[in-house]
Amino acid sequence: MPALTESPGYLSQGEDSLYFVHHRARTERRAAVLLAGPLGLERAHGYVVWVRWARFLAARGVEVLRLDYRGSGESTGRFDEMTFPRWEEDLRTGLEHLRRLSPGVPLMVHGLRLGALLAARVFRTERVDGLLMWEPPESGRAHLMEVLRRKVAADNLEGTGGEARSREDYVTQLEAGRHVEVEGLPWSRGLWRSSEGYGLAVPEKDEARPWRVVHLDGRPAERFLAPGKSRSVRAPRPFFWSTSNRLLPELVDLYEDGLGFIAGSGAGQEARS
Amino acid sequence: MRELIQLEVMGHRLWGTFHPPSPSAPRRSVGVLFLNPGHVPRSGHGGLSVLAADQLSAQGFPCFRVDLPGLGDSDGPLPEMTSELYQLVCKGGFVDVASAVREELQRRHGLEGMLMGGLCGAATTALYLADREPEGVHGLFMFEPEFYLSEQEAAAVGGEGTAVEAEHPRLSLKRVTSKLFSYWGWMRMLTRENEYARLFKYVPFPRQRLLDLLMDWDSLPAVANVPLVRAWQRVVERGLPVLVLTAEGKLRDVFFDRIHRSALADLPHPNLSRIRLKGTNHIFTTGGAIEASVDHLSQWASERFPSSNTTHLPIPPDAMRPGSERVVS
Repeated sequence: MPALTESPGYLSQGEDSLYFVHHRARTERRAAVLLAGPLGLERAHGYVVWVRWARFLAARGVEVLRLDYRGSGESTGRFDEMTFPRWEEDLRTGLEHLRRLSPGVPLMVHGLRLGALLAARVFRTERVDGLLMWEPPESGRAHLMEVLRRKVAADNLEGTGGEARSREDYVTQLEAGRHVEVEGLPWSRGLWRSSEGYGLAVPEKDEARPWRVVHLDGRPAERFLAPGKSRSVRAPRPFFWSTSNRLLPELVDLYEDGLGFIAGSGAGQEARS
Repeated sequence: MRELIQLEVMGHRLWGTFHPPSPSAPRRSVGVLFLNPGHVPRSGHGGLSVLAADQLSAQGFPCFRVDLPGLGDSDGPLPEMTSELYQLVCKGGFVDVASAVREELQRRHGLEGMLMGGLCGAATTALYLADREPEGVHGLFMFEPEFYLSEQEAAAVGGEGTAVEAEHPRLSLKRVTSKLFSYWGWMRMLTRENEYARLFKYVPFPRQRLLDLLMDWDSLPAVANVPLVRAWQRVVERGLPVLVLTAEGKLRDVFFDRIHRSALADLPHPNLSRIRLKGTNHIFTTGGAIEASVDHLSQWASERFPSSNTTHLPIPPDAMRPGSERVVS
């Protein structure tokens, strides 16, 4: 049996427990990164790739911590009590834990989809040395609306779900304080309202710390979210966080770009600890 | 309360979660083991397995959710394509390791046996294991079980699946025609699981009549996973308590009906409980199916495996009672 290089555990978060997995760097430690993953079905479908990305980094000298937000996956807590700011708190708790585990190396945050929204907020306020975002939504509201669109499309196609047949129907229900089942999770008015004004916190122009947005759809430079700070990589469609016929898509370019950013940009800096 | 568990079986290091039984609940002599639904981690779609384990542990059942090799947090190889994983599961590729997991957990916790199952692929692995190890598996819960081969294998064996063509993503015409002349394309359309199902909103297809035409209800379909069907017959014949939940009108539900009719035509099945959930999809993430399936599983487990020092109390097969079947909205 090989040496233990991955260890899961729980962190206390109020009355709840945050589930995390720590991937130890398997070569000389160059950097540490907190992975902020997607939520809901995107978490379920993207898990295989997300875990392998963590292993890819650990094998190349990056200490990795990934976690489940409260109310999701292995973490405890009621999903219907969760909001964007609460999940942000979860990231801060994970970040402090990773900081303790990896002193003396640059500390980065990397978010995918909803995780990128949260990571950008954390980057703005915390002592973090870099921010990497893969396919961030424009805002929390835009993300929830996109997920609702998927629900409406699937229910209409399959003849499933309840009476509601449009996104507006569901928004009305949420605003009225009723729970709406979306991808098996009970969305609440609290979650919905917390997404209002929760835009993507794109760092200021004079931000000295390195940060990068990576679009996975291969878009041209003129459509970059943050010109000068964005990259474009063409990942196989459908994306790995949606229903894909590929368990292990070819993502070498994406991985190399991410590693270069996390280990490369961090290596030239003094660790802020 | 949850505890993390680490298992070292067959050269794999596997991670899982243990839900200890509530101390205030009656003691149960069997545990409940949830396996991965397809490639999804051990929490399940929408946290189905977590919610079910929480509820069952509150009733006194020690519950376990374990990531099999390569899945969730457990390291291990995986095939590149989802369909290859499906084929692996269909052939019982996870049965040996699941067996080792069951044995180890029973040994650690001093349990007389295990109730096993889960959604889709988890049901397949658990059924193979229940057939192979009747002394260890005391009950089976199967959500959306799949009794047919993958489309690729079906094409290879011939029969109803032969018209399947490899899809070319760039050629939409070919994509349409491959659906038009494909047994699976029609099955998915008639059970409203592909993109052409929306035609039913505008064209008055006689959906059930077409389904009847495609399905010879009295014989096993050519695409049936025969070893799995045989395992199913033996398990049912033996009188093992089984709970089957399917999404009403969907592909697995229709297939299960056909298997049910042809494979169990002459078999009594008093310990089979079959429930069809209305208005949901294959992964139970809509129509309130997660909550419903957790409730059905809890009720089934507590009724079939009451608190005592004995194992389950099966109804003798010769009692000739029909299995319970109902549709739940």
